[in-house]
Amino acid sequence: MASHDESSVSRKKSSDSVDEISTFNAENMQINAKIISYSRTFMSIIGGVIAGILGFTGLTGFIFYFLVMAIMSVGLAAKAGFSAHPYFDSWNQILLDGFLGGLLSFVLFWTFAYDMVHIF
Amino acid sequence: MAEDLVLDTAIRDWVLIPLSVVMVLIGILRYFVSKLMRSSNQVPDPKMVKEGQVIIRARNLRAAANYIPAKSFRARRVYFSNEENGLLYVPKGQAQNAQAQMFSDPNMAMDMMKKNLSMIIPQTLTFAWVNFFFSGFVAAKIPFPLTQRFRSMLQNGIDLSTVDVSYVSSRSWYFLNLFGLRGLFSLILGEENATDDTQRMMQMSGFGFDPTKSLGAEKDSLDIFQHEWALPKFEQRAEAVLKKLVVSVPTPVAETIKTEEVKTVVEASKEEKVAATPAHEVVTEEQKQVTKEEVAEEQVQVTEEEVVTEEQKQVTEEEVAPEVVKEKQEEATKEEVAAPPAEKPAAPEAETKELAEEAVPEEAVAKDETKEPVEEKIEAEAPKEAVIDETKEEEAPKFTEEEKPAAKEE
Repeated sequence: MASHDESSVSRKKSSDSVDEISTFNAENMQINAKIISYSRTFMSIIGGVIAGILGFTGLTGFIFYFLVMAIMSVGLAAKAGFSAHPYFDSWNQILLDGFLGGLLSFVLFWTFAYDMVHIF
Repeated sequence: MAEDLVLDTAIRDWVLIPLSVVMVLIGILRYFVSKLMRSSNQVPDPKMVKEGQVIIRARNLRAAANYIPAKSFRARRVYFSNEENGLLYVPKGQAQNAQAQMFSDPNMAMDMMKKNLSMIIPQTLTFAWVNFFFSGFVAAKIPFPLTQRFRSMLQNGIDLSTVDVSYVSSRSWYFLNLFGLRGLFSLILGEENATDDTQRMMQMSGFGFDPTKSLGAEKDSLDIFQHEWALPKFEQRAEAVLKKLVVSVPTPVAETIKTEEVKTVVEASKEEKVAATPAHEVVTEEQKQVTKEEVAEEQVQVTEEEVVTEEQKQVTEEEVAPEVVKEKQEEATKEEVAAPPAEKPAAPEAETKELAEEAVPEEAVAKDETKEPVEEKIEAEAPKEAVIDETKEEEAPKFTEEEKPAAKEE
């Protein structure tokens, strides 16, 4: 699902020269932001399940979460051709948006998988 | 003292999984119920809708203000925030009235009640169910350690103080599910899910003051807004874009344009009067003349133009066509006088000077119409670089005329 969503990152208008006011197509920007949030949620769920199965506990699990988020950011940047300007408002949107939003889902599925596999 | 407890598999089968499944299903049910209930009674108040649309208009003006000249932006802003009859100006008496009316309206109150109930009731019911059935035992182990302070919160039913804080009761599993499934709902339900607590809070807080305060807020933000003309160099950018296009496209395009023009000429001739058709024929013949560089055609054309001018003087029904024909005749004569087509940069310049001279006494409609056939004709004849020079010069007088009054006012 993540790959399918990422393949539909849509291009939007932006200015050519730096000294002009940049124009952004609002609808496409929304679509891009939605894709980012979907991808991050999905990856956090998957990461939680993986962390639980592998038996990470404590700090290791959180480090794994941030590692997964970083991999996601790199993947998004690669999909956008390493140039944030035509697709997003700024680099921060690619790298940091939704970073902590998936944390709760991650913890839930991490707990779930960990208990399934190791305790019961 | 962190011994590993061995938990019964039955706990997993009958507590964790059912609780999660039930919460997911209740979330989906709540989503569909709220959708059904919302669509049943959706008669919007016309006054509310009007105010909402005015706000949207003002917002659009603010968003796109940099693409219109400063003078027109100011005119629009005055229309909105004018003291007497501006759309956004709401006298204080009316403001209070609308708010009071909204709260006393029974329909609105019912809607709010329904929305709140549909959010709160499933949560309360589920929580009570969890507390009743699943209390008093260790339900799960959270994989990360927490401090002792969390013990009272997480281990509610468990009365042993030596148990590790990681072993939590089912109540904490309920809360963990409550927050963690939000992400899952956003994936499976799309954007419209109302299961998010924070969204519900925002909706409730923004509901009561929508029309009146936001009108004032829009007016203030519109007053504050600084206009910045974003298109001062657009003709240069258009030139660059056209250059890129032109360099990549060879001359066969010119021929297709000519044939298209011939087709349009044929179609247009059926609609227009007879007197107008010689004008178009003159256009096509002028094109052929310039590309083929033959003096004989020039002579033929001169005679035809004379004939055409006589006919044009007779016919007075269409205002634009005679002007069009006259301009083209003058341009054609200037082309003949100026040079063979080798000196094509001179021809466009002569034409633009002519256009600039004639632009003043003419109306805007005639101006647009004359510019378009001139552009088409020149594209068909000359190399494309001359086109770019000509369009730049054509657009330059238009923009400088607009920029001058704006500059004068500012």
